[in-house]
Order: sequence, then structure tokens, then C-alpha cells
Amino acid sequence: MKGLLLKDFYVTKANISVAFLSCIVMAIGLSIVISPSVVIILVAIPLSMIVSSTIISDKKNKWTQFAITLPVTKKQIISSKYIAYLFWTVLGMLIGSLVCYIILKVTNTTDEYINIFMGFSVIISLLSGSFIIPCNFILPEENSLIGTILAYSMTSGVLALFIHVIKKVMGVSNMNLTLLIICSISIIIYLISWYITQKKITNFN
Amino acid sequence: MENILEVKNLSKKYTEFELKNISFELPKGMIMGFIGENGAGKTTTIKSILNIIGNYKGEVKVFGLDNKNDEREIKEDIGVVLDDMFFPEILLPKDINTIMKDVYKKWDSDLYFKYLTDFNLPKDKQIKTYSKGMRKKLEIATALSHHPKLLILDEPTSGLDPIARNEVIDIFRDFIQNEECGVLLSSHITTDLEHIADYITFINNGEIILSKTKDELIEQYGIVKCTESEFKKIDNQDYIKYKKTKYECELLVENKNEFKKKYNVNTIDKISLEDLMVLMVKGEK
Amino acid sequence: MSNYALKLTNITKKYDDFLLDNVSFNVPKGNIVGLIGENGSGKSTTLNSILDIIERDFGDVFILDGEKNKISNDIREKIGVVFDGNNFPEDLTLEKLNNVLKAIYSNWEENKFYELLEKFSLPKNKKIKKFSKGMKMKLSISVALSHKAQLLILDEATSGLDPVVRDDILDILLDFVQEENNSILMSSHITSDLEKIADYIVFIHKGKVIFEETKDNLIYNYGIMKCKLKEFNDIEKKDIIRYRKMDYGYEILIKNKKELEKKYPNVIMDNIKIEDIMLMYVKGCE
Repeated sequence: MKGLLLKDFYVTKANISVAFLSCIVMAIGLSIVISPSVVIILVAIPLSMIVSSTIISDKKNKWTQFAITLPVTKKQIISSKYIAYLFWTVLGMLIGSLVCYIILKVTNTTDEYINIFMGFSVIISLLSGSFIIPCNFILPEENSLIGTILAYSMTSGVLALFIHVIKKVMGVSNMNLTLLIICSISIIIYLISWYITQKKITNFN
Repeated sequence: MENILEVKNLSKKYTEFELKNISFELPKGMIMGFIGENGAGKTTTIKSILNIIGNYKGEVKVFGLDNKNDEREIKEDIGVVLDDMFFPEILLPKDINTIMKDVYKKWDSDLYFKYLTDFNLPKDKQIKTYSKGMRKKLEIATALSHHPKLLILDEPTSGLDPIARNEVIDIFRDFIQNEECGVLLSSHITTDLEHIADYITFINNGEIILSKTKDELIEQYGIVKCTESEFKKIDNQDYIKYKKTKYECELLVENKNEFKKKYNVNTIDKISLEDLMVLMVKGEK
Repeated sequence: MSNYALKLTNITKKYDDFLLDNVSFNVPKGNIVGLIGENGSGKSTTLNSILDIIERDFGDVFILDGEKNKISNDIREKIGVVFDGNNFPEDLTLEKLNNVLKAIYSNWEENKFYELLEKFSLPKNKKIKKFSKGMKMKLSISVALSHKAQLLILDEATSGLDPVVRDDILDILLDFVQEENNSILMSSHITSDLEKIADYIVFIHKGKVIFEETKDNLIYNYGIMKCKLKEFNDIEKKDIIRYRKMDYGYEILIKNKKELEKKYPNVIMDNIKIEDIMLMYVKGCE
């Protein structure tokens, strides 16, 4: 498994440069308009997206076909993507937080939205990932792109729905608590997706 | 005009590679096999002939006309299959027919669909679903369906199984029955060329090593096998290249009959194009 | 301890428009088995089903003293696979690929890998996407030979390569089987390569195994008789494997050249190449 993770690390690193830099630039710009902590989500999401795209590029490169002949199980091939996805989400959040912190220090301001954007990062990334990762394994190339776009839009909608439900139905008005609840739900959904995918998917074509 | 294709002193410089003074002639009614390693210059030569790449020096005449000035006219009559050519994957073979009808004056739809049937290529499936071999056959069908006079083919049988190759070779043989036509065919599958080529041109490191009729080649060239001690007695001038293996020495000899007389050898093995290439490229002088 | 590196029995897989039908053959240890057949005949399906890339419906596979139908990771350590085209992520350099494979194979031999790269003149610091077809193939083979594999499986590995590169690769494959426990199963359209190095030839046509013969038998004992209609009618049915009616007469594929040369002295008898045998089976009548 270590080898698979290392390979995705190299590939993601190689593909970061342009996407990453443009996101940071965009994030810094937006942070002035909205709030510095928006950087967190704008770094975490693209990084995790690169990982889910490696599933497609692996298929195209015939790496997946080759990887099955290696001394790794199919379950490990799938799990390595879930782990890498988590890793780059967290890494993205850390980098985003660092940039946000620097901006706040430099401009000598505070930002009350930090918790919200951190929460959003976790929720959007994990909920989307739960859907995108199995889709990329199952669907052919063109359809997975649509799946990716759908996933992120759907997730934002679901997030809004959750917040509304928790506020109205459960009567929780504290945003931090609300986000904490939804984060936990997202983590659970992500783990369920991980379990089901590595159990059910045996055919990578 | 006796030559359907004439190349004179074709030269092109790249940073890491140079095509140097390529010259050869393809007479009408003949098939020329073009052999050489990957990277030796076959594709560059072919692309220069077709004016796909420019900025080269030298002269290229097709049907007696200049390939740059009369390009449009010439291309009506040239059928091309290139190694890295591809059709957009979402197209169907019948879409290609619709497109080509407007491109070539002599496009023959009936002939095109006949080739599709003969080759077992489904008309209504996207090219995306085609295997490597099927794509090659589709390219060949397209190249032949506008009644060209000259076929320029770069690895047309690559990826095809022996049966399909046999069918395709037969089609080229039929094509050349018309004495006004010609075929320039580059291939790594030298056994195919041994079956149908009349001429062989061998390019190595951007230079033409030889350009002869296949018959001359087979008659004149040979491989001599001898022991190390025998090898030492042989004059440097009498062989082109040699290769030492664990057990013996192999020599590439240009003039089989002379060599036989001079060194009193009974038999010299008949040479295959593959052996010729390997010894030329990997042998030492 | 089995004598076989690979034993296939009744491998069957059904698709909508194709059936791999009870494919059985063996790869004895220390030997090279060539797999031939038309495109779409089932060669890749067979290889993929051996490696578990696709699931078969039925049939048994024994690989390298492993358990029946089980390819454990231990067994995968000992199998080297080379597919046609590219096998690796294009953004990696060879150094990075080495690190990845080092972490995957327990028997990865880094020194041997770099030695092979040297031998093939493959640059360590260029991204794989810049490699030519021949270079990518040499890379795949280097990888397959650098983890103490005992069985090499090559699927159209020499397709599109020039004769000089193919000569290099064939030499390396021959070296590999010098070791008695090493074996190779390779599918190829370039039958002249198989004529050079294979010990056995397995011919698959429309999903079925047509024959599993030693190469020597095919080259020395199979032949082609050429004659006119009159002579054709005198030939016993049992001697004819396949025949074709050509413009100039009949061509007949036979299995026992020496015997039939004596039996039918008036008929022309020619040696035959593997690709011609294939052609006769596919296009000839029984």
C-alpha cells in the first residue's frame, strides 16, 4: 500500500503547480473581499480533487491494469485513494490555515469565519469524495467529470439542507455545534463509502 | 515520367537529430519498403514528402510535380496512412464518408463501404470502440477509397494479426497491378516487406544506407558465420559489419559470390531483412 | 513441486458477443510459450483472466506452486507483467518509479533495475511521458526483471518496435529462461519473433485452443503441399489438416512432412512458417 500512496503523492505533486498556484492567487484575492479564511477551502478542495482525478488518469495510463498484477490487493488499491484523498484534504486545510494566519497577522485583523470555513472544507470535501471516488472507479472517463461537477454542487446543497434541518428540527442555533454535528455525519458517510467501495468493487473496467 | 516519387538531397535539421541528403527514387508500378530503426528518420522523411513538416532543404517530386508548388493537386492522388494519425473518436465510420466526400474529388463511397464490409468494420459504432487493429484497417480503407495513384504508408500493419496483415498486403498487391501506381511503405515487420516489396530503402541515423531492388539485396548480401580464428584471416574490405557472439562471429557481406570464391566458402546463408538491419545497426566495423 | 509455471484448465468467460471456451494449456518451467491468434480471438482475455484482471466464469488456474485459483500477493511478487503500450504514470521519472516499486515489491532489486536502465540507455531523470514507444517497452521489461520474478507474462509486448530493439529484447528473454525455474508466456503477432525463441506455441482462435505444439514440431513436421485438382483427389482425407483452393491449385496443410513426402512423391512439399499455419487454419477448410 505504501508504494501506491507514494505513487499518488508523486503524481499529485507533479500536477499541483499550476492548479495550486492559481488557486492560491485566487484565494488571496478573494480573501480580501470576503474573508481570509476562504483560502482554507479554496486550497483543500482542489488538492483533494486532484486525487480523485488520479483514479481516472490511472485508468487511462493503464496503471490500474498494471497495479492489479502487483502484490497489492484490489482493496488496497481502492483504500489508497481514500487515504490519499483524506491526506490532501487535511494538508490543504493546513496550508490554507497557514496562509490565512499570515494574512491576518499582516493585516492585523481577526476573522470570525475561520471555524465556518474549516467546517465547510471538511464537509464538502468528504461528502463529495464519498460520491466521486466510487464513481471514478466505476464510470468511464467523460461521465466521471460530470459526476465530479455534480458532486460538488450537490454537496453544497446538501450542506445547506443539513444546516437548515439541524437549526429548525433539532433547535440548535450555535453554528459551531451545527458544523460539528455535520462534520461528524460527513466523516461517517465517508467511512461508509470507503467500506462499501472496497468491498463491492472488483471490476475496474 | 518514369518515377512516381523522386526525393533529392532532402535535409532537415533538428536540435538532436539531422536528416542528411536523403535521395531515392520510386519507379511507377513498384512497391518500396522503407526500413530503419525508430528515430532513424523514416517518419521525418515521409512527413517532409507530404509537406506536413516544412523548413527542409532539397527537392521532392511527386508524379513529376513539385510537392510544394503543386501540393493541392498532388494530394488528391495520394493515399496516406500515418502511425500517429487518428480520427476523432466520437465519429462513426459513416461520418468519415460524409466528410471525405467533400474533401476528395474522386471519393468513392461505394468502394469505402465495400472495404468496411470486407474488413468487418461496423459502420455504426463510434471509433472510440474500435481496437487498434480495426483503426488501422479503417485508415487503410479511407486511404484507398479516393482512387489514389500513390500510397504513402507509415507502419500500416502495426498491431495487426498475421491474418489481417495478409489481407492488407494482398490489397496493396492488387493496388500495384495498375502500372501507373506506386507504394512507399515503411514497416518494422520486415517479413511483410519480403513478401511484397520490389525495392528496399534503408535509413539509419538520418542517412540512406542503401536503396536497391529487393532481388539485388537478396542476391548480393549474405551472412557469413565463422570462428574467431577464421575471422582474423579475413580482410577488412570484404565485409561491411561484424558481430561477435559467444560461439562465433557473424559477418555481413555485400558481395556474396566474390566472398565465396575468395575464401572458399561453400554456402553463405540467405539474408533476411531483419538480419540485415540488426547487423548494420548493431555490428561493428 | 510442480513442473509447471502455469497450468490452465477449462478457462471459460462469456461476453455478449464472445465466448472464451474451455481454454486449457500449460507453461512448463524453464520454457517460453508463445500465444498466437487473431485480434479478438481471446488471447488478452485469457491473460487477463489468469491475472485476475477480469473474473472468469469457470476454470482453474495454477500459478507457480500456488494454491488452485488463488493468486496471493506472494505469487504476484513472482510474476512480472508487460502490457502493450504504457504501463506507468507518465508524470513520474525513473527514480521516482524506482521508489514506488521499492515500496511495493518485497524483492525489489534496485541495483539490478538501474543496471538494466543503463543497459537500455534510459535516462533516469526524464518524465516517462517523454519516452518513445521503444523506450517505454524497455522500461516495462526492466521493471518486470527487477523483482526476482519467476514467470513473465507479456501481452503484445513487442508491437510497434523496430527489429533492432526486438532483437535486444529477445536476447534478454532468452537469458531470463536460462535459469531453470524461470518461464515466459508471451502473446505476439510477430510470429517471426516466436519462431526465434519460443519452445511451445498455443494457437487460440474464436475463443478455443486449436493446438498446443512444440515450435520444433511446427517448423520441422508441419508443411504445405501444393498440387492440382487431380492430385488433390488422390490424397487421403486423414492426411489433410486444412486445405485452400487457390488460383493455381490447392494448398494443403499437413502435419507429418517426412511421412507424406514418401507417400505422395509427386506433390510439391514446402516448409511452412507459423503465420502461414495460422492462415491455413483460419481461412482453410477441413
